[in-house]
Amino acid sequence: MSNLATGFAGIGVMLVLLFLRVPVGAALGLVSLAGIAAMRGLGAAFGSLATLPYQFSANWTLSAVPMFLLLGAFAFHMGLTRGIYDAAIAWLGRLPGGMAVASNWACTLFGAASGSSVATTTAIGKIPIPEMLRLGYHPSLATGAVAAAGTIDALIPPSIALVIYGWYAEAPIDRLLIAGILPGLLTACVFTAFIVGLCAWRPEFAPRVTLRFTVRERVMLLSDVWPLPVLVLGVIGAIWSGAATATEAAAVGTAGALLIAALRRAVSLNAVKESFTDTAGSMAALFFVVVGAVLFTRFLALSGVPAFLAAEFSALGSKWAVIAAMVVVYLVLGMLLDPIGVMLLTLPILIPVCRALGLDLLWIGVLVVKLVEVGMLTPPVGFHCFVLKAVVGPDVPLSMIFKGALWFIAADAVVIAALIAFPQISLFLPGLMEK
Amino acid sequence: MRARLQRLLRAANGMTLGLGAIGAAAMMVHVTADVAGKAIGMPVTGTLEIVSSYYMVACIFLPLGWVQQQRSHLAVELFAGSLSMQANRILAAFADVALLVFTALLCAAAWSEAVEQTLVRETSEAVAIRIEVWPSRWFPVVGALCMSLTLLLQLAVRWTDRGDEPRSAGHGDCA
Repeated sequence: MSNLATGFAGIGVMLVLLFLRVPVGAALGLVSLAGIAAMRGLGAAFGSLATLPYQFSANWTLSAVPMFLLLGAFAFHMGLTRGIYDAAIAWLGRLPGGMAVASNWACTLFGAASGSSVATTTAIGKIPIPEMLRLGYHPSLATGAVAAAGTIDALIPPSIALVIYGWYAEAPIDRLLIAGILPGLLTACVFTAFIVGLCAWRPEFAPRVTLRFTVRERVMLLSDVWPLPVLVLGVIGAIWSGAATATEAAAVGTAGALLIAALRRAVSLNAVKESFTDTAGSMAALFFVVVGAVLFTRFLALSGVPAFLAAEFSALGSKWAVIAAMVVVYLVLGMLLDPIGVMLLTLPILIPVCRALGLDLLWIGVLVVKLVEVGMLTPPVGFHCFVLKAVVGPDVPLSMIFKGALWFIAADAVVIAALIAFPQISLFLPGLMEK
Repeated sequence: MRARLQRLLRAANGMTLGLGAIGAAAMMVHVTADVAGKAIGMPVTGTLEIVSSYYMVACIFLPLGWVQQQRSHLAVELFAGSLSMQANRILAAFADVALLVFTALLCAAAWSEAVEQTLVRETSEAVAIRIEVWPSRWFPVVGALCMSLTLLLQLAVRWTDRGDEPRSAGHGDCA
């Protein structure tokens, strides 16, 4: 069998193993070891396993990931995320579909501090959805607004997906994180406009709620949630100004979160312990997949598959072919895995192709993260929709959740089209940074 | 006997998770101290090397056994509901065996590398100071070993319980 054939066979076997529910890290790793052994011998395979996992873990660039995870864990365990939803309702609840708008923004802000959009959906979905259903909101709108928030928060810093992409693509992490800001905000605004428009047009989807918050109450609610946005802005500012690397900014932000929690007397030994163990556990689970992906990259590189595909796509001579392929692949894979799993699975092929075509890797990074998140929503088996179904229980049938997700995918399609047509949306802010 | 092994392994997994957590905590403190130090012109020497070679490796590899104990390694969950109990059991056992093969290989490979680097007393290539980094070569060995043993025990439980009344396969959390 030629190396190229081995490469493609490896991709096939890996997908079969995934369907047989072999954990992703092991599926990637086993196929890679067998493939490398077939092409270069057992010694080379064992050698890769001995050196690559350590080499890629003992890495400064990736150290931003545990710090971002820790920031989220502190915010969650020490009550900095509590009250976000109430504050969002007080400020946005009067709009048509206000509760849905508020949920959407609350999930975004919560997600900004959390590593995983799946975790966000699970943690925060429990509160607003039953509330909206009680008020007579259309179930599709109530669930869609929460499910779709992941496509916003994965772009707004601190974004673990963008750090991992940047590490893999050898693109500057600081610029990537900044590049995600405008697309994230754009998505949030489009979603808000969409919800308000829909509910103004069909008021029965979202009965108007009379909210009586005095200005004083609103400010009070805001005073409860200010630390999180301030910390996030601080982290962004430090990265933007070049004063600190992503890791440094996140570490200081994390220490800041601990300090604020201490001043509010919200620190308990248990909360501290849980935050650190959560972070370590998430790191091990996440990097087990990274280890597999690193081995898979070596295997594919030896087989020549990425070079072959890059040549094929170059022959087509069009970035549109690559982008169309990305859209299809991510929508399909979004039914199998969580966002970072999908990303790690595809980057070994995508990045060499994009390099060969000379595409801007910052722009591609934003697109990848966006598409991966949209893939989490698509019927019939979007990952987020299933997670949400588990959260809301029997009250809302799955079909209703998918219907709601479809509305938001339509809104996201507008955003994606804009991101593709105008790369400047992603590249403008990083362009302002000091070289 | 099995109960004792389980307790022992649980304790080991708890301890390695704790060490990984200490790695994360130390990273926060160390980097923050370095940033503060830089502000007053006294950066902490070797921060980059220690963070990369020790803290990162600790929190990535040491908790592996605990993650397996919780069965929270990322896997595709599709179709689980549409299969018979029997098919689910067989699939779950297959997935566990595949995972065990990979983890055991990882442990063996990490072991050989750790021995080699320990013998030469590997140091980091830091410009300012030489930092011995070979001890962290043992973190992957410990993590992969805990994970392999946990998996073995989970498989053993799966095997001995197979005649029992329906316990949902794949969630027979044991070790």
